[in-house]
Amino acid sequence: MSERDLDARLRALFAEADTGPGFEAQVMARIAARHTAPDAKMLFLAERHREATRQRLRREAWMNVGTAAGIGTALIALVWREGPAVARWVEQGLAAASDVGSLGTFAFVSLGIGTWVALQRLMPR
Amino acid sequence: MPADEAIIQLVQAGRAQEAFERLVPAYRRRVFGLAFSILRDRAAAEDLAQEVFVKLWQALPRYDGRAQLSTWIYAITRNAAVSALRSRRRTVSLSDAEVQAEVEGIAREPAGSPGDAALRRRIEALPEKQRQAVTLYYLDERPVDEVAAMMGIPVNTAKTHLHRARASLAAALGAAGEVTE
Repeated sequence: MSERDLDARLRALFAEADTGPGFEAQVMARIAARHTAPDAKMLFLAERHREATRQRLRREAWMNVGTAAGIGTALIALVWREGPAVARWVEQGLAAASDVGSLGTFAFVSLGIGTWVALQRLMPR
Repeated sequence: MPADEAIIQLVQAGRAQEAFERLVPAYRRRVFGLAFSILRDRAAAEDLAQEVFVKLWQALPRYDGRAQLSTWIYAITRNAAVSALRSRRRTVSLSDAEVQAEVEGIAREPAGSPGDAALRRRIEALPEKQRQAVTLYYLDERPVDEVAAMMGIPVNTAKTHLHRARASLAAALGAAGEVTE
């Protein structure tokens, strides 16, 4: 066998290597599948995000209720057990608060905080 | 290449869909051939060629013409084929090697004469670049400069690979009593 024969055999050997029928149609089908896939995926991800947010808010709401109930229970228990002492603290607190200087400071600080919060909300981010 | 110019003009005119419809038949054999030369498996090469065309469909509107269209397509194909080959090797290394070899042997068992089978084995035994050059050269009787472009190597290097591959094949088949010069 000559080199020419070797060439011929190699050509014949590789001649059968080709894509199957319908190659272009299969490419177009893959493209069509990919084209719709992102939409479906985005919907799935958005729904999953919404569900996660719903669960987080529900969890936080229960935690808030639990915290409020705990603080309330603790206050009631405190008043129940230490009634006279609590009454004395409240009286002292009210007396201190009714002082003109304290009231003025409280009003000034409240106004400052209120203004800061209002500015935070009104200023563009 | 005139077909390339028409495709590029369509892309530049914003008619990527039309350009793609021309690109697939123009490059089907070449993309498949390049994938086949690297993966050495017809089914895997066809699957990869389809994936490459999906990538081209996505990327074609962004093709800026800085590289030749064929160079761009061959680079995408080579990268995809080499990645596929790496992941396939990882998969094979995790499975039972003997079973895998037997399955691949059955799947690749070609139709043809015993001489064809011997020739295939000789080609398989060639160094990677030589085997790739032989495959691309004989698959569609391409000129060596196009084989070089497909492999992403200089023309002289492609010629050397091809020459050495043919010499090895001739010597091997001659030693086996199949080549008589």
